Amino acid sequence: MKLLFGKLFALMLLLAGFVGSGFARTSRSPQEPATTPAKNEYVSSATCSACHEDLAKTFSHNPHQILETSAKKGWKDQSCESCHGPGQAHVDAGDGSKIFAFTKVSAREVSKNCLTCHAKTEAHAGGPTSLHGKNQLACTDCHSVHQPKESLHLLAEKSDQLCISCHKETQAAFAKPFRHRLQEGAIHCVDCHAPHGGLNPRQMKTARGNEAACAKCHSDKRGPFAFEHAAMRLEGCISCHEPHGSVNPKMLVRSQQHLLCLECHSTAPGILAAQPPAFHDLRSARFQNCTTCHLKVHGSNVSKFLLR
Amino acid sequence: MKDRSFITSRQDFQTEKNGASNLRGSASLAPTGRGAGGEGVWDTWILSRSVLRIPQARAALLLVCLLLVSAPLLHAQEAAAPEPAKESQPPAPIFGMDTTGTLDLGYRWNAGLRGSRDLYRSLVNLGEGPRLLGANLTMNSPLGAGKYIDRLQLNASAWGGDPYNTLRLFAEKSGAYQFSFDYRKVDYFNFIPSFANPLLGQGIFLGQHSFDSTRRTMDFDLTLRPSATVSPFIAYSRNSGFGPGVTTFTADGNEFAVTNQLHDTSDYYRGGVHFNLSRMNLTLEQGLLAFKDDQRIFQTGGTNTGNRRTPLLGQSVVLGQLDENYHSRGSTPVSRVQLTATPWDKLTIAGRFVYSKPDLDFDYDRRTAGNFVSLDVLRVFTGELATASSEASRPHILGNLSVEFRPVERVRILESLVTDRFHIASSSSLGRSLTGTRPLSGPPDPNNTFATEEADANRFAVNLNQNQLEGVVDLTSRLSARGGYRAVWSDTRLQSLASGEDQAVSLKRNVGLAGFSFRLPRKADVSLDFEAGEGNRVYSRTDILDYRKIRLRGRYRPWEVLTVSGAFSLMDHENTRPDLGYDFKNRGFTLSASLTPAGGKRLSANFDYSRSDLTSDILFIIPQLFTTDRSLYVEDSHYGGVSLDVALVRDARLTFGYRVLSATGNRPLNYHQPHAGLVIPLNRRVAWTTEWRYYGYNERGASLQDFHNHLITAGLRFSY
Repeated sequence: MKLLFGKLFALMLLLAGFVGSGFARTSRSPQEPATTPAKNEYVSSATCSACHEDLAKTFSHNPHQILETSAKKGWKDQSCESCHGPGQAHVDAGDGSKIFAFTKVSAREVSKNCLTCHAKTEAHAGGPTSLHGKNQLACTDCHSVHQPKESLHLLAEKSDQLCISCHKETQAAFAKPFRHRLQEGAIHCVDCHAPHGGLNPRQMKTARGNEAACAKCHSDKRGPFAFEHAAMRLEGCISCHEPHGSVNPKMLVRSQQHLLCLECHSTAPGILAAQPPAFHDLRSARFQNCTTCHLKVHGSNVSKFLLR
Repeated sequence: MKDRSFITSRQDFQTEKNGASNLRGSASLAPTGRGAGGEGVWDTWILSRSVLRIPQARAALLLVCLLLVSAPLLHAQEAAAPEPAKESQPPAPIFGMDTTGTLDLGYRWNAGLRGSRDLYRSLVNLGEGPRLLGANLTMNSPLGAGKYIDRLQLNASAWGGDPYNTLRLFAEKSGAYQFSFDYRKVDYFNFIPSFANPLLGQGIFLGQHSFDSTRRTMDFDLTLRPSATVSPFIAYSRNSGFGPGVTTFTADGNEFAVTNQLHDTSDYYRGGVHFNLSRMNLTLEQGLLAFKDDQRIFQTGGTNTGNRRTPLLGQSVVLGQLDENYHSRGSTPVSRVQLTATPWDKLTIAGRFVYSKPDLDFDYDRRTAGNFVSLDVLRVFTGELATASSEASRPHILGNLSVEFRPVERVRILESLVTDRFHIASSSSLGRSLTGTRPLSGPPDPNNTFATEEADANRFAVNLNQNQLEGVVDLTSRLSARGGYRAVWSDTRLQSLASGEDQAVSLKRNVGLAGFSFRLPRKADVSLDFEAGEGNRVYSRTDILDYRKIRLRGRYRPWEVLTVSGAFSLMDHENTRPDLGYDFKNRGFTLSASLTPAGGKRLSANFDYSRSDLTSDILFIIPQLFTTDRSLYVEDSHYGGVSLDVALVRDARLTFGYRVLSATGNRPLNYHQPHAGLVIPLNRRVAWTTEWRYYGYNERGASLQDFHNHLITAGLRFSY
């Protein structure tokens, strides 16, 4: 307990240090590049809209329009240039060059631009160390500021369609007969996975702070139980279930229940799991479905053998 | 010679099922002759909604009528020649807000369901009747000029009787608040006659773990001053499940299928503050979860002979009455601190610390009447009263840290740490009072009663840690390579006071990581991830020990209108311990193409193919013989999908798609899901919509659970 408090105290000191550094570097214009260009290189959004009329018209409904109207953000009347950079040279050239064009730069540069403002939000925690981050997924791969098909979060497409556009093998899994109802809209990829990265392996979300994502809906399985099924706590629900879709009922990873159980419940020194006693005669159909008796397979509060 | 006297293969299972196939014509609620009125427990099953069947010939006639009705509408469309949509005036603002929306109303016919109605309901469960198919409303105040709301978005789908309803509301006033509400209802119907059913060989079609339940989730979230330096938030989530089902009651030597009534609720309240500073976001959150779970398992009368066919110690074990009640109550405080910071241009840090401590109080009681045998105390008894109570507590700490360090422009060092620690301490007591008792041999019990008491205390502790360090180098502006190392180490301890059990097991794994990614903007991208892991300790027999995992993904866009992508993955794992002999392989391959000339406005076509090939081979011990045999699971599945979306004359649109899954191995089946749809604008605001869907499910070589169904939906779409 003392060690725990000591660690907590050290963590608090570290946090205080960051808070202090955060205050020390407070700026009214967080989007300013490292080398602040001379003011005369910026033009106003009104200049941009002279050529890009359609974009300017739809931008009035965009959440980013707050940059245009709010003096606190430091980009009042210059919201276009808050992302695309100073526009004077682009206007002078008149040929589409000399401006930060999101379609022409690398994924790294796109993300760097967006994350100038959005990096420190809660949703982006863990982004750099996630698989999306390491595989150079650009913000514009999923988001479209000017032509979103989904206005919530400015998505380029419906959120599940975006995921499936790359994760085709998962699309195939959801076509299996026993599946989570993704196609029916009852569940979405982002219910379980953090698209920006997250701090957990496989970009999994947690439910209620530190529980497995499954417990968000399957709250009756969260426990705690007086008699736990250790596999659930040690390996998670995926020790027995396919999370996306399965050809087996109840989305199990095996077609025969007794083999699913016996693959673990066969005695092996130094490894967890008890051996079923000899009266479990597999020749009888009664013993080919373990949950016929071991009803509370997710955990029991009455029986250590999970019978009720 | 290997003992094949027990069923391990689908072939053996089919042999046993064939004996029952002549009873396939019986409805799933066929009375079994059990019970006072001749009804069995499954006759108390109440279907929440009926599925109306229309013979196939009528279905075809209905489809022809729909098309014929569409024809004059098309003719009227050509004759009237409405203005093209792009030249129409935008709709008038509502409350000063630019408003757009659609409302889809329709009627669905269930035309021609053949085969297993129970499995259709378990897998698809779409019924017949009027439906609110979808509704969308978007309201925006230009330039944030709204007094109370700048943006409002409402989405709803599948209301009016469908098993999956959703409703989502989002409202925002820039700089003032963000509010979101998400509601979902899922009807979970699961009644698979051949699954977990020991009575199938006798022609009794009953899934002994079946459900006709509903689960609802609601989430409210309000954040004030979202982009301000200090931004408080509150949130509330509710999750509830309820409904009837079938489950089993276990007595010594027999199991009985009985009625199950479920009801559980969780209410999660949380609130906190975001501190949004220029280089940092700090979130402090405190929450409280209150949960309860009530379950009643019962049989009100009759004689249930259960799954056992033979007497036990000369006694017929039968259940006459049962009333079993579970009550769980608990609460969980949850504290969370999360930090995301860029204290220095070259350094990004994210960390999270979460502490929760769920506490459970549990009560249980059971009353039974019938004829039973207790193998513990070697008595026959006719009634039982049992009560139990338990407590459990699970303090749980989850900590994460993620660091990205960029010493120079083209190099990144990535470090992530995870620690997950909890222990579960529990105590329980169970008291049983048997009535009408008599010993199997010896003098009779005084007062014909016998009482027992059991108590136990358990502790289950887990500490899991993971550390991952990687370096990423941008070799060019388009190509980056990475390599790294991951260490996983964990230990667990299980202790039981009553049995004296004290088991400590640990896990250790070292993993090498490598990969590269190449991107040519809007043209091509390729990525490769590789892991090779080696362990020397595992928790369970199926835990990963030594493995190799590779994932290769690529996308190529030779022309603006065509995108081709493919992926390959392999997971190869083995544990060569002689008593395990575990060999696991899972290979996946996908290929897809997408054609979208002119941005898909007139035509878009997609083609997808996926193959997944899984083999798992591990030794296990046959309980009754204590000899080893192999558990071999093979699954080879092919998935194919095509979709076509075509703009016709006068803004009409035709869609067509076909999804098919074909699997071989331990559970061979195929599943066909074609669909087609037509949208015909009648005027600027109203369109006629028609859709046809087909579901064809075939368990190859076993037709007990096959089904085929056509669904036809017709309706109107109102647009604003």
